[in-house]
Amino acid sequence: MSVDDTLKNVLSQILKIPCEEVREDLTMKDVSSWDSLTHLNLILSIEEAFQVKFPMNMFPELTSFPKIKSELGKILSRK
Amino acid sequence: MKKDKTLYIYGAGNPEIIRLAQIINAHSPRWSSLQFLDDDEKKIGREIFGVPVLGPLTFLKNVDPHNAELIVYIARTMEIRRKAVDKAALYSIPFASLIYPDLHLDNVEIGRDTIVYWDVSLSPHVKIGDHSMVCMGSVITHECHIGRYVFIAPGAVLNSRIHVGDGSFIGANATLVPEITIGENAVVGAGAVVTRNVNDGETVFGNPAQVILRKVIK
Repeated sequence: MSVDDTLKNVLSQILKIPCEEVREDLTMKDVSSWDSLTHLNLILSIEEAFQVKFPMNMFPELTSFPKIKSELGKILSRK
Repeated sequence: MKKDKTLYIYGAGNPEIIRLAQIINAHSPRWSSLQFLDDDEKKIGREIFGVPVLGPLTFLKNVDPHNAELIVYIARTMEIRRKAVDKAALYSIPFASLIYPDLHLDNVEIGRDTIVYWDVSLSPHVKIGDHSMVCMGSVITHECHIGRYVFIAPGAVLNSRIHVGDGSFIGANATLVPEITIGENAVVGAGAVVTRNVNDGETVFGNPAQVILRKVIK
């Protein structure tokens, strides 16, 4: 599965929305279930799915699909 | 207190509020009956701990404010609580505060429509604003000032001269070191050890607590 597909799967699962609703421009504002606790679960689940660690000071920035994808891409390219 | 007073509880969620009201009544009689109100039709007609869910909030239209008190028991988020309080306030029923009777309160100020459960410790000169909730086992020591619409989850420790702004949420077993300020609409995650000020709208988590989210306006 591609990085995009895995990431969309994780977002869909944690945010409890259908996979096709995880659009390329999805942000926290679009999803009512994306609150602070869900945010934490989301980041931890992405870390688990890709076996990576986001620096904690980056957590507040990871509030949209494009931002998560771009930061995840940077970390994966360093792996 | 008049004997025929009814306590209306807006939000039929969990039975703890009934337990607290019954303990208060056993200590010194305050209400002749307890009734739930809930806008969720599915809940109407049900009973929680023997207390019936009478109807939606609009039921209060026909209630004489002299014979009634109201507590808002909706706290899924503090934003939702604010909206519920605004709706409930339209009926001019006096707000009650439910405070566990055996607490030692020495120069403690507690606002209206505020709930303080059992096993809470409140030191002198603590202030708690209107529409707030302080859950079981939390400890709030001297000169802490808690704002309005603040939720303090079970076991939280607020360790002297801490200010908590309106609408903030302090998670279960969080520990706040002395003399810090928590801004408005902030969230302190469960178990966090907060060693620094938290700004408005920030969510902090971990030990030492770090910002994991800033307020996103939806």
